[in-house]
Amino acid sequence: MIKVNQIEKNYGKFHLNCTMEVPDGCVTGLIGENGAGKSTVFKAIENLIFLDGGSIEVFGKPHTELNAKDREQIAIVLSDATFSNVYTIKDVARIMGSVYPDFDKKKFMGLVERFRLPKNQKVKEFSTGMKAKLKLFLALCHKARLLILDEPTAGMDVVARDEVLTLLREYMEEDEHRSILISSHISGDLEGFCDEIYMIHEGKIILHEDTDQLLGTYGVLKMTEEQYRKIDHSHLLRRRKEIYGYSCLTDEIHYYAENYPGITVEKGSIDEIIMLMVKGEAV
Amino acid sequence: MKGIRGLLIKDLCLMGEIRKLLLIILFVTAIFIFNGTSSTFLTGYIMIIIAFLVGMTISYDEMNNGLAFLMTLPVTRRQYVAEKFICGLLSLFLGFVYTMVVAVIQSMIGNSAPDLKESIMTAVLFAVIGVIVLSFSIAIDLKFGAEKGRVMLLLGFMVIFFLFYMGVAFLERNFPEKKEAFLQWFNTIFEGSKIYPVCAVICAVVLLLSFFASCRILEKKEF
Amino acid sequence: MNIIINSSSMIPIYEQIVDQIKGMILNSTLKENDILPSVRSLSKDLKISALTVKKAYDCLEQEGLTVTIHGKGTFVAVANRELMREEQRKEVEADFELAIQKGRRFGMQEQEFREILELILEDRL
Repeated sequence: MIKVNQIEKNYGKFHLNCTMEVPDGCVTGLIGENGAGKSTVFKAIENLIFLDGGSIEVFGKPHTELNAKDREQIAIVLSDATFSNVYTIKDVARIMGSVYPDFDKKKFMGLVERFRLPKNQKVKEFSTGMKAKLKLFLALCHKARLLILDEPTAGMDVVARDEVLTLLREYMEEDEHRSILISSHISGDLEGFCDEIYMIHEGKIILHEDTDQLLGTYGVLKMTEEQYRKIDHSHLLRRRKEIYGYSCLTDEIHYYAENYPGITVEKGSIDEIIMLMVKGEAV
Repeated sequence: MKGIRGLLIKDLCLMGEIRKLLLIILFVTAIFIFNGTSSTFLTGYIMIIIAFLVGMTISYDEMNNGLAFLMTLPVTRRQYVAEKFICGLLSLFLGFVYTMVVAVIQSMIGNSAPDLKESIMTAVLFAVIGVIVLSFSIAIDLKFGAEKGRVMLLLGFMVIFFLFYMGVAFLERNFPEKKEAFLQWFNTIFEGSKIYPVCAVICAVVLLLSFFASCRILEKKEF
Repeated sequence: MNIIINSSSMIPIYEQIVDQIKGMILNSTLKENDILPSVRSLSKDLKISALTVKKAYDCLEQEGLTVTIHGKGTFVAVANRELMREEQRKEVEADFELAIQKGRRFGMQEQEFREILELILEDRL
């Protein structure tokens, strides 16, 4: 669906250099702290900014050469923009209906009602969470086969995030050829939803792994300095000095759990993995 | 052309936002009609306000970074620019019709009975000025953003009038006979039957130049 | 289909799914030719990645427990219950063996093993 090949973009000190892929039928997540370059990658794919190097393919074509038909197949949620907020939901539905031939007004109004968004009020008067929901509903209602969602859950509370992720899961269930590229700085959103995850830090991809592997075989080992000296280092990715010795990130927790019973082995959450990837030193 | 239609509908949805402005226009019109004064000022006032309307729609589009979102719809940047011109020309046309209607009403109830032929000429001249204002405002608003654009546009026109005035003054001081010739030439091109083709040519040139400049500006813009 | 995932367990999630589906086939909750939910729909219900579900389904298929017909779905194969029983028995035996080895290292005697076993069994009942 999307192939991002060695793209580069420079903003003063910030330098983006990134390669990634969104396969057909997959949910691909991009995580990283604020300013890591998530939105820059998204904007590059959406052709809102221009590349200093590299190339991007969407649907097998250069991303600058998509025609109107192709673009109708893509739904985009920008982290910081949507229709100007002087419109009401009714206005927005009318506009979307005239821009997208496949816009499903019934579904859209259904969602609006289900989540109790006010139909006749200007979007200006919405709360942040309501605005975020509206942005996402717009993306879900024109049968796009590629969703590019930059921070779609930002500003939502826990319950709303869960509801919205369920919507996205249902969307994927409807058609197995749909794909999603999604970013979030809340890794919990992505843990249970993405098939694979890219981790970006200072403009570079520092980790790319199936979520299944991240949750199943990545983990944190805690040990004393002496234990650290003795163990096999071949599956350690990062280490960090602690009061008691070292905590290490591994992509083979079962290997260490079986062979070194004295070491504390924890299954890592994605947050911990990011922390160690970013803050830890290479082994 | 679905894209352009969608964008037009989007601008149409702004009617609610500009209704105050439309009410003011109606109010001023009413005063003028009952006053029975010449409609020249009224026509000019309405056409210039309408010419600035498109700039206003651009500033609404830009609100909360909305322009970036519009660019992610299945609409090309060129189509966006085209829509702004279509929208602007349509509203100028409506303004033209409106001023004509006002002129007719005035001639029916008025005591001064304005000349219809002259009213048309006045409206055409102001429509040309409207087209010029529109063309400049689209390009400038897209380049500098609608807020800054408005200021720059006003400054720009002031500078142009100032230069024109200075030029005429300069001619008068140094070559008085040439100034006369120039003013006469200037009057002749806007005279009689020649006025309409001259206006058409001016409009076409300005519109085309501004359209291509605007497309280039928007196509180079990053969000 | 009632599958319960324990995401904090050290057992990989796909293995948890495989084990539970196996269990259902064994106790006939799932019968021959029953269709399993689609990968996306199970991943939605369990709130886990589709790749994890796919891995579990692949695993089941490799063991001959299910058959996937492209475009139609994944079905429970003609189950050889005895063979499955046998395999599960072997797995449990292996686990016991490990426990006994550990016990021996700690110097436990046969009597103690029996006591532990009975204690655990009683607890569960």
